[in-house]
Amino acid sequence: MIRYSAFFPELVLAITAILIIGLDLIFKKSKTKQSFLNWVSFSGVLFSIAIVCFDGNILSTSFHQFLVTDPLAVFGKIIILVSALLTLLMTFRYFKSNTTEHQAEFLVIILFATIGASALTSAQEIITLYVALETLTISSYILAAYMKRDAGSNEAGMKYLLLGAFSSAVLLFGFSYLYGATATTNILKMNERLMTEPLNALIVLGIIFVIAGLSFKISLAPFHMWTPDVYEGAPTPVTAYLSVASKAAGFIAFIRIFLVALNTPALVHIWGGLFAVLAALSIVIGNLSAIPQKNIKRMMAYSSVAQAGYIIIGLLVNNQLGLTAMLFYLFVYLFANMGAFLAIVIVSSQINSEQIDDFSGLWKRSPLISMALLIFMLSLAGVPPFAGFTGKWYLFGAAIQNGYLWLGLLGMIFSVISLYYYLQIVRRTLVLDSPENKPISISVIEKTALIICMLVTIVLGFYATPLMHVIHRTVGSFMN
Amino acid sequence: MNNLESTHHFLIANTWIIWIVLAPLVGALINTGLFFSQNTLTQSQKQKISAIIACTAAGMAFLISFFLFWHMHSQTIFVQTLFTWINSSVFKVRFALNVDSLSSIMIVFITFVAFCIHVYSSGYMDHDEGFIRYFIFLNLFLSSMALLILSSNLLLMFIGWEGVGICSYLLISFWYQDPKNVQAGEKAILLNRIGDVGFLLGLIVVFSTIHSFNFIDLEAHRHLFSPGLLTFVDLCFFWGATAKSAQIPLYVWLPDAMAGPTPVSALIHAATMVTAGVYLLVRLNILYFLSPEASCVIAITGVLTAFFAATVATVQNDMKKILAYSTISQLGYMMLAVGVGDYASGIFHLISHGFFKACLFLSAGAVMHLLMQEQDIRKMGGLLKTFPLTALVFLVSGLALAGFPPFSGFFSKDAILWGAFSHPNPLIPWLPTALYTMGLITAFLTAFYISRMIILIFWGEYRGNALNHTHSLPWVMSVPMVILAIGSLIVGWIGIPKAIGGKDWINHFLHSTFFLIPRFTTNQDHLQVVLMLISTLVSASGIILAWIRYVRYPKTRLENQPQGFLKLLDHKYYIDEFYQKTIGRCTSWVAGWISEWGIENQILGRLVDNIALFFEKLSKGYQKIQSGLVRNYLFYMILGAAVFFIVFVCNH
Repeated sequence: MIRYSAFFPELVLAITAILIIGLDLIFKKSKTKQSFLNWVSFSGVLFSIAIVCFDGNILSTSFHQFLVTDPLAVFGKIIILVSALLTLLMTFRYFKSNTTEHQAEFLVIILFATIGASALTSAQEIITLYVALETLTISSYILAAYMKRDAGSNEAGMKYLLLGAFSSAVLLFGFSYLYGATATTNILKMNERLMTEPLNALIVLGIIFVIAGLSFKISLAPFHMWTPDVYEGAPTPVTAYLSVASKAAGFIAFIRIFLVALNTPALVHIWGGLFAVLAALSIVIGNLSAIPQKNIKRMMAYSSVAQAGYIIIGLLVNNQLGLTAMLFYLFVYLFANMGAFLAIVIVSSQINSEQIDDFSGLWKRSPLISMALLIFMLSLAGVPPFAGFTGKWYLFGAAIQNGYLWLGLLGMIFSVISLYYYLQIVRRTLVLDSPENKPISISVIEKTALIICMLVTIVLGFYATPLMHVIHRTVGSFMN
Repeated sequence: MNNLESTHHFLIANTWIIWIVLAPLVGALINTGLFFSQNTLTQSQKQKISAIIACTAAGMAFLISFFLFWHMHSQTIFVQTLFTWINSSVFKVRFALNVDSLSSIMIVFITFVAFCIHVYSSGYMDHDEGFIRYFIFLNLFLSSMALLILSSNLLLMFIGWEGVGICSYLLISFWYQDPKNVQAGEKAILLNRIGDVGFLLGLIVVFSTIHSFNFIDLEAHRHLFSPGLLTFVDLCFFWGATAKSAQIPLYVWLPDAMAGPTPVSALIHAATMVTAGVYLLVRLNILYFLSPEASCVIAITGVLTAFFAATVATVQNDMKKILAYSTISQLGYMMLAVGVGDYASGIFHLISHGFFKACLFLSAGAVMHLLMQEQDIRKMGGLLKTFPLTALVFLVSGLALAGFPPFSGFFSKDAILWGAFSHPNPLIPWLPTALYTMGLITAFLTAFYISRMIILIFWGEYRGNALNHTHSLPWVMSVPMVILAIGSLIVGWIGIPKAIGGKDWINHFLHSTFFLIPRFTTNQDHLQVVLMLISTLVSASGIILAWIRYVRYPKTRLENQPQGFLKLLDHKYYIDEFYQKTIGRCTSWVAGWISEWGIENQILGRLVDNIALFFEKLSKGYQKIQSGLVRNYLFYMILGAAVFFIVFVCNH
């Protein structure tokens, strides 16, 4: 008998998506219809979150243990679904100023991408993992190219497709070597077999290909080259989605493959060093390249490369402390980054510009958004007392405690350097003046979302105990 | 049954402590929302709402405090541990609040006075543009102060300590349009930062010795401190206290702090915040008890501060300046009590002083409110008939300050003087007599300057020209004044000494906090009665001297320019000028030297520029790689993977 319980959240999303397609066909095109469909998608995701929250304590498996709902999956799903929720919110705003005739399908594709990302977090088997990843990625290609009359969007979609297809092929190639060495696609069994398997060059080749393929998804240098171009060209809600939901899914996949399947002493020795190099490269390249950027989305793209570099530190130390730091930082990053993008969407859709210079004098036009940007930027830069500081403190602490002193120091130095470009935005919004002082309008729900993101970013800096409790339980169930 | 009931109260109390801190904080947050909200309410409606919210918040804090205080028995300690705030292998700090007899009496006193002043402010600040902002700061202050009092460890206390400091700064510079007020705020925060260095140093030494910040651990592990180290720690915390509680040499900010609104002076710069230093030392009582050297320093500093500030107060003409110097002087008394080891009397005087000084400030504020913000007592006079209620309140609290029986100040000040006289000093045998004598002279000066002030304001002829605009006091202002005046009369009765048939309740009540300190007893009750009579006489003679000088021969005293020693007093011993000429000059000389000799431009500036330039070049160079061409991107990806593989192959 096939059990579906571990698939319920994705099932709800799928039903919502199909419902939206149907409703879109039945009703005539009007403003009411669009806002109705918006709310259908919104409540679908909310319902899915509710299922994850209330049902997530039960460890369940579906489809012959291809999918499993363990605490890690629940944690990942919550991050992904919350960021999908915020992405939908941005979409409503984005389509007010950027009209296209196919708004309903956009919602549907976001939901499909979320199904992929969500299923990825519970994938216990590499074929399932790959299929889920492709569901996410192929939806992302469409989303990036969605504004078809916009050359930038088209370019972004095309580049993403070409490079993404290549990296997927590399990933699959890597998986095939691992399968060849272990004759299983189950992640747990793969670990058992690799324990006894002698180390050979083909396994290592497989590992390197898997790293290359997955690093592309979370944009670790040097596999990050697509990031700035795609982030800049894609519609802003999609950029936000790629920078959080898509990355969170990628990180969970990393955790499943490296901390479970490939977690044997001999192999850890290999990939630990590789990840250290990748983390260092990402931190250096991401932070340095963000400095001269004029476009805020491009800047955020490089910032996200650097952030991925910080987060991967938690993986490479391969212990409970590191995983705790990683999950904590992912959670913090979700709210700070999504909050920043929400603010950017609200502002840029009204000033019709994505140039950092045009954010000047924002304090006069919207004090709330200026304050929000200040908090999110300081948190991303890791300035106390915001949550980003606590997160980085855990990450660098984990690195230093496990013999990666150089990496911890590098992270700290480049966090200081990152202040330069994060504060550029703050300087423009809060210090500089502009002749324009038309107020920026902001809806109640956007305001609520911004304030929630701000509160989480502030409160987690002081009082992280409940979240740490959840994370400790997650990590405890996962690593001994 | 009784036991069960008390357990029940215990549980309730334990969960409600945090709300003393949170209620004002929530009030401040709601008012912040109101401040930024853009709805259809008019300004005056908004003001009304914000005043109600702020007063309710303060009132709730008071009710909870009172509940805790009511269920406080000799050995009770309510503890509420909310969460582990910082948790790392060597460093663990809990966010825990702690109510024992000392903090319960402090918190109930502070929230009560704060509530009165909140209500008063809603009348005083009416028609002020920054009305809502004012109440946000005031609530925020109360929240920080509650945290300072209730925290169970030094680190948490430090947050409260800094919180009240910043609120004090914000409220001193409240009318920021005038640069003078801003400078006064800056002066306050700068001098307090100097004190914070001492506090932090103390924190660090305590932590490195006992590996904990908790007060309980401090008591338990006190033997880990060597005598020299103990004196050092004590002096560090005292250093912090000299800034917060305005003692020599860091007191100079307090007179300038009077630039803020008068209710702020009453609440923050007289009744509550400035006593935080005294509270800190009393909290750490066992550390001071074990170090006679540090105690001596504190006692001498305290009595000198009391004396010098009192002499300055005798010649000032600005109503608030007189009260400011008076506050410094009274804080000196409290420090004296701490220095001689009579901690309960220090707290006793802290509370009674809080009542009468807050009341004095509020009455002064009422006079200012009625006289178009006039502060110069030379331009007043004869106001007794015009403002009878204010005059009565002023008189009651003034007599309390003068230490005249049976007003509160008499008992608390006498407790300190008796403590100073009777506690033998192990290091300097003649010190108790000297301290007592200085204290007595200060008491005389106190009686003199406050009588002078009251006489110049309320007796004789009116000498100003603002009287024709007067209006009546709203009830929100007069009721708190009357309540505090009643307090100034009766609060002293909680500590009537045994020598004259009282119960000395406060000493008994606080004993559970000072359980480590051996109870001090003497059987010299007769001597104590004699000394009380002497104090009464001294106080009376101060009042009489002022009467003779300013009622009998008023004109000449007011118009003459002060000469000789009086001129020195009038200029406050030139201490501000002295600081300006020495420390101020030195600092600007060093700063000038650094910039003139090019250290900043040539060395530091170039270094910083070049580092920035380096990273800019690096970043520009990297931009060339980011060509925008898919084939290049693919190339780098493959190159990356290939390099990894080659490195692996070379290694194995």
